Amino acid sequence: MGSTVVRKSRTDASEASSSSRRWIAFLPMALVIVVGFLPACGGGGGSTSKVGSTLTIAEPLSPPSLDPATGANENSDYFNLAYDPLIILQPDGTFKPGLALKWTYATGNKSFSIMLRPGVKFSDGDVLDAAAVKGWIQHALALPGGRASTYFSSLTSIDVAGPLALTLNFSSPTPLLELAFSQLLEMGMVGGPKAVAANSLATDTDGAGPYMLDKASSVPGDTYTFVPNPNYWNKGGVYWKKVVLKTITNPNTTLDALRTGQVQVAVGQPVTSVDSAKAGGLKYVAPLTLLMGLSLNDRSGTLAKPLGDVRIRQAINYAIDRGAVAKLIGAGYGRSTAQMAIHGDDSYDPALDNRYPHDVAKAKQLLSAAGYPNGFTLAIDSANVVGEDTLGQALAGQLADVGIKVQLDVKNDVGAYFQSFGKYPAATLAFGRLPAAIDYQILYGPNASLFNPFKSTNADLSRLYDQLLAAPPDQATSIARQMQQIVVEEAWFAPVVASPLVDLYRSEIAGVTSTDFRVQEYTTEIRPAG
Amino acid sequence: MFVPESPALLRIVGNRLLLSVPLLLVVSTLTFLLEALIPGDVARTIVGPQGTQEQYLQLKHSLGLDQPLLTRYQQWLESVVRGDFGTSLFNHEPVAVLLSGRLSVTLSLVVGSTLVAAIVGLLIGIAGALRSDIAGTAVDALSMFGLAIPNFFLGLILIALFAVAIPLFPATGYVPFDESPLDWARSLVLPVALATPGIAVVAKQTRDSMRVILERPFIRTLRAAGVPRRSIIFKHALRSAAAPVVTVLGLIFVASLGGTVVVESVFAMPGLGGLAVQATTQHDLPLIQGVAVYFTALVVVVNLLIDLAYGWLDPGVRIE
Repeated sequence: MGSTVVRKSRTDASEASSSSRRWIAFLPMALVIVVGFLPACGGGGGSTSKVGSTLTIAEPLSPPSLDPATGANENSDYFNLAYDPLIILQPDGTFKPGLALKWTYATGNKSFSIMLRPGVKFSDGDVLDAAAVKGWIQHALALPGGRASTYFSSLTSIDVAGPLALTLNFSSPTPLLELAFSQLLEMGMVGGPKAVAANSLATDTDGAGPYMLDKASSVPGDTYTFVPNPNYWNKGGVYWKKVVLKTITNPNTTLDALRTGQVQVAVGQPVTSVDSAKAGGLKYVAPLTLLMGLSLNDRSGTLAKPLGDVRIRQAINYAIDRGAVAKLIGAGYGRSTAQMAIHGDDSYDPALDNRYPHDVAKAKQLLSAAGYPNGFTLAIDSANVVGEDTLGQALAGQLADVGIKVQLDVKNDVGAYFQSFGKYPAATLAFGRLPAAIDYQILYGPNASLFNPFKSTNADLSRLYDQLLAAPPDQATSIARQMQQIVVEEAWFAPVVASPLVDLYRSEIAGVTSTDFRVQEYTTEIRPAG
Repeated sequence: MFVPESPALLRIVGNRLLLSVPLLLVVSTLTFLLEALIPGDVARTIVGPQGTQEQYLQLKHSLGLDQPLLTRYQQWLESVVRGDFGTSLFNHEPVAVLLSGRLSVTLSLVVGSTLVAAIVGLLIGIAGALRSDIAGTAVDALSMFGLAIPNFFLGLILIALFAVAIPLFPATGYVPFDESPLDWARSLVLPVALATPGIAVVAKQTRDSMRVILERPFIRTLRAAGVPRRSIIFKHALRSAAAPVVTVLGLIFVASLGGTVVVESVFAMPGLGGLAVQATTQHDLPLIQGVAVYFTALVVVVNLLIDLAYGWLDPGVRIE
């Protein structure tokens, strides 16, 4: 796509006083009209982009910051290009060396040692060493609003054992550091010490990745242009002379830009675009990205007394026809689920898939047993994002069949929806797939303040969480599954569907790879086909 | 365009500009208050659903969002008086840089739409006034059609036809004039074609005004004196009929400015309209304020230009 750089307009010239100058003012528009009938001849929004020279990716969001220390993985494409991670998450869920050559856990997951790759430089020419990584982690922890505190909450010290060796020490077991240091959670996307000190990483880049930001050719909030990093350690990993990330919020516009070749890849698109894309000869991947359902937050019955009874929460689960909702929400590409995990997640238990089959009679029986044979009224907080409002409306209809009258409050503003969590006994939920330990921290542990507003606790769950943190990898999966079983049996949620966010791309492109084990494509893998 | 020739007129222009100061103050105050009433804040937007409450509160504090509303407004106002629009809370770029970088896109779009509406609308309107009743009815029908068709719908159809099916123009994006005048023009053709409603309004207004003027005695006198028809139409009748058309063009400019919110989204153009939507959904108050001030200033300037145009078209107005 042609550059979308915006410079000072020359069309806002002041009006001339003579009639000849008045007519001159019409010339640019006359030019518009004349060239309108010229054949398409390149430029003009970049329809001449050639694969191998320029890759343009349509993004649904613009990033609040270009600093990967924020850990905002919804903006990962903006980080991936300029920052290689310490550890790379592969499509099959395994890890391979990135900027780190080796890493090891020790002392019951309370320490983590890293050996860095030698000869790596940041784009400003500074050398990547252990001191730089230490400074980076400290920067991430100090960054207001950054997510590092989620992953390094018990970090006590960082020992630099040599130019390329360091060890992180924790006061309590801290697993999942491979994931934290991978491109998925971004903590290992180390930035240059000078840029960290200059506090410039929010608006510019200085990483050890294949590209770097060309600020002069970028429009903040709209277009981010990346060019090859001359100091990149792995020259074979540079597939493009230029990569442009263009924010396009309208899915129809995105499809048109793909069809006309102005963009080659579009990420994070709604699943409803897939059929149109296929008809237009485009390719797609539809990783199951979001777990959607109801969060039955008021598990002690503070606002809605019935929800304090596990039988009521289970009745809600039985009342839901997941297959029908999955078809509606997933447009044929979703997958129904009765647990807060699907295949590929550490806590996924196939035996739980049919724990709550659609059974209206069973639901009514449980409601009667709990003392609510005629149902009750349930207020649900919702938002019109990623189909949550549609989900809420579908569930309202199904719950009405067992006598539960839903009062759905759909908010246009996501912030307002989040801030209202504690004011409603239940909320619709669309949550990214994460390992059990992180789900516990963010979604349902006692300190998961946003998503657990009524501070629900379960002693068995907390005990298993503690075990999970210290467990070696071969035991962790079993413990994660036990945690899932408790969450499902207690019916803290009514999971409904795993819904995809779709990546669309043109046939001349390869490397747009997402799987059940890695639901996000990795931008630096995208390359010319053939 | 009429250019002020006397100190008195310069004073009038100066007074109009001075009067815009309280207007800008009122607009910025109302914008600030309205934004404050919208639930949610930029810190929650940035932290997202995966951020913890602690991370949210930490960011909220660092952005100064925990200060009283009045204090924040006062700080913003003091900065603006010093010529500093502040920094975007969302992406940390200076607001003035973000706005100036997008101004040319929006101006190209709005000025282009207004010019197309003026040229095409005037030609159709004049033709309608000079021809039979059937032509006049056709102008009326065109006006109704142009007004009825929604902008975004027309935009999608134009893209489907002239960018996808017949690849004449780019479907999305904007190319700066100084980078490539040809590509700049091509990138504007489809968005500017959304001027259809404006064309319709100008055509109808021109036709109605021209028909009234062409019935006036002075036109008959000119004809009797043997003045060429073209001169009568374009030099005398059109000038007399132009005042209400200029008013309509001013309204079209303002409406187009508001319409950029939709047009820039449909065509993925990096202009002020799209920025306004983005800033509002992100609760980025300094940026919202900046966009509001820019839009208000543009409207003030256009209104001033229209007043000056009245003076050029009608010397009586100039004296008043």
